[in-house]
Amino acid sequence: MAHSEWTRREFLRRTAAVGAVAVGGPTLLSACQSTGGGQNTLDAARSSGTIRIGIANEQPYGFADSSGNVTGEAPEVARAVFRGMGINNVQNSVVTFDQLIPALNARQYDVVSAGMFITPQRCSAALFSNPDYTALSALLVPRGNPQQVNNFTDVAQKNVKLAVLSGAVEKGYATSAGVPEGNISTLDTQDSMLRSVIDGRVYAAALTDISLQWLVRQNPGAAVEVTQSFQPTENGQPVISAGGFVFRPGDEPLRDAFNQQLGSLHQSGDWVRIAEPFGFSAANVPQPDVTTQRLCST
Amino acid sequence: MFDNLGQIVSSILEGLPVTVAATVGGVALTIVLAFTAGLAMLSKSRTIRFISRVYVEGFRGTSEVVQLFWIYFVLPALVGLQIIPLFAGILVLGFNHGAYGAEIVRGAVQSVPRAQYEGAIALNLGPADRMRRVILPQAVVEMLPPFNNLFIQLLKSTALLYFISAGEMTERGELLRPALPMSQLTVIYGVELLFYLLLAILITVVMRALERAGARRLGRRPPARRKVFASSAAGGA
Amino acid sequence: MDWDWQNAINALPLLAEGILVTVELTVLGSLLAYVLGLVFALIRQLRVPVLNQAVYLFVEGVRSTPLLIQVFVFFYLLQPALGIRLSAFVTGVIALGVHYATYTSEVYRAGIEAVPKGQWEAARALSIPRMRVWTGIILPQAVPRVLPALGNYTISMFKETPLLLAIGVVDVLNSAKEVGAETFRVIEPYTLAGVFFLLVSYPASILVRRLERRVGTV
Repeated sequence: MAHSEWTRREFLRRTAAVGAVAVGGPTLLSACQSTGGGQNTLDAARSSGTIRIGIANEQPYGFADSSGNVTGEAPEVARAVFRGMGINNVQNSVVTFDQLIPALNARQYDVVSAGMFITPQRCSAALFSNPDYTALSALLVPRGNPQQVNNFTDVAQKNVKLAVLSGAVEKGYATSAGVPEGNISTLDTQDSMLRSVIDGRVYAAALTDISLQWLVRQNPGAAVEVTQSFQPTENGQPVISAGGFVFRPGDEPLRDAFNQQLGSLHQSGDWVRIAEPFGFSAANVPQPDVTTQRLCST
Repeated sequence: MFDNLGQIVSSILEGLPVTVAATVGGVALTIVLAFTAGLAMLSKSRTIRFISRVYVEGFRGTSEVVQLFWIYFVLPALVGLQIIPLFAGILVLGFNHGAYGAEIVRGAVQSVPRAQYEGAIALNLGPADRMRRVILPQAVVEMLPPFNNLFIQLLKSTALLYFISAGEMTERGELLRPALPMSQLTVIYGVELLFYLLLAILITVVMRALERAGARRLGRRPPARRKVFASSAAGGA
Repeated sequence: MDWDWQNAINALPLLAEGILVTVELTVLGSLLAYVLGLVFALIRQLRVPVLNQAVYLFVEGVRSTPLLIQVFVFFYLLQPALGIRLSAFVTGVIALGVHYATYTSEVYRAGIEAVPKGQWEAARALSIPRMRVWTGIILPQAVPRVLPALGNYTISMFKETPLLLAIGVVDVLNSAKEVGAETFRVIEPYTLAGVFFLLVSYPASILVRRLERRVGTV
């Protein structure tokens, strides 16, 4: 009995020890990294040579390839920019599109690299880089487009169901074109949008033309097609859609250093070389009059 | 159909260590909190009983998914700290299941026959020794079957870490989804389900071994070999 | 970042819509779980050939794997394969109901087994038809005793509904996420969502405990 008593106690003691290590160890060592402490994000990234970016698994902006490696236009451009800043190790976190800015503010990463459009509302919550690219809107529809839906007005008039990405700009375009809320299905991921169109849960899905053309190329077996690209309107005004990288308020030094490198990538033509494999071309380089200041203020 | 099987298995396997770490860490934290709060609920002090009640009801009452969202998005924004997703996940899994476990511990300790207390008092054992040497060894054996169910619940809950990008198996699978031909979805989910099933069986096998060992130590007849699944005892969720 | 009451108040209307969906999911999912669980339990108890083994494997498989993946499988794999198309909400109700039916079936089993042997023997002695034995004698005694356990599973299900946001169900947490997508502030909506769950499930669990004291437990 004495012997078994000892083993039982030993068992309890070991369990408690494992528990204590599990609770205490990570807390002390690595779990909570204070990100305050006077040092700004730029200095911290420069001294550690590491920065973390956030993506939304949206092709071709930022996504995981079939072996799980993160690639895409925005992560690749970001990597080139950070290389130029002497930060060689770029890590990534994947969240849904609508959580990109909340997770940025929750310090899960320091830069959103997801081709996010620069809008006044978003500018009020975060800092944007200079425009990285411009794109037009399009709709993903069943092959042959039996209902002849080519833009948001058609979606409203033909009374068909539309999928939009949660937190993305297209929902606003759709409602301002008169699409009733009940016909809009707000989904979390691009892949769910594609499957919704294929499975017939919605008639059309709205994203940028770059994104949708890429999807159709990647899924040749899927019975879907992309409409002609068009410039969306909101409240009767045409909207210039330009995307950029997003930083936390207070990280102006990081943004400024980033802008400098991004500008030289655009000018040298390196940007086109990096972005071309993802379906971008020189036509997507923003015109000089498309500035973040202007996009934030309209 | 199985063109990408190797790719899928190796990609999901990369998430396996995270799932296992979340489960083991969560189980360890659960055990610590379950015993702490469970015994505290039996304390003579009203304050201690109240505090442990607040913990148990607070964590059982708010949804685990909401807790994950809260610790990942809200807590860092409130306090200005970054929390590593896996660690956040272990905390939520442990605190949540620890609250359920506390009830198991309390119930098992209370189920030890009165005579055992009286005997221990007669032997002049102090309250601490009484608990450690007489009551707990018997109660722990009673706890094993419900803890088995609880740990399987915890394993299943690790899939929720998908919501906080911890890199475990479910998230690996979801990341892979758009990168592979659409038909491969069957294989992705098939592989995931199989892995979870095997881990659940592993937990049950370990817990059954502990049950048998525990029963032998108490001089009771070890429970008969049962099937690999844990479901015979109701409750747990 | 600090708590902002204005944002909390502004979030309420959207959250209220989500709350309604969460409650509907729980009520409908529970009803399905109560009925389907009884069916599972009866198939097992009556040892219906083939079905008995099929239900056993199904129950154990479902109980050992995450609900989230089951939801994905049902939504993205099973429905297209079967050529059906259910809304995310209906998909959620069925997934919750079926998942929890595997738990409630164990509850019913325990409840049925708790009916004293003498009741069976008496029924046999009076040669009451088998169907009548179940509906008139066994179930009326078994069901009240299982009510607390069923109630507990309803509370568990209630707290698990938010994972359905992964397929686009606009429950209370998804509504909170939507608030976050519009305002970029998630502190208030996510906290309020947690408070909502506590405000419902704590009183509910007290009620279940009270019921337990009245009718006993299995």
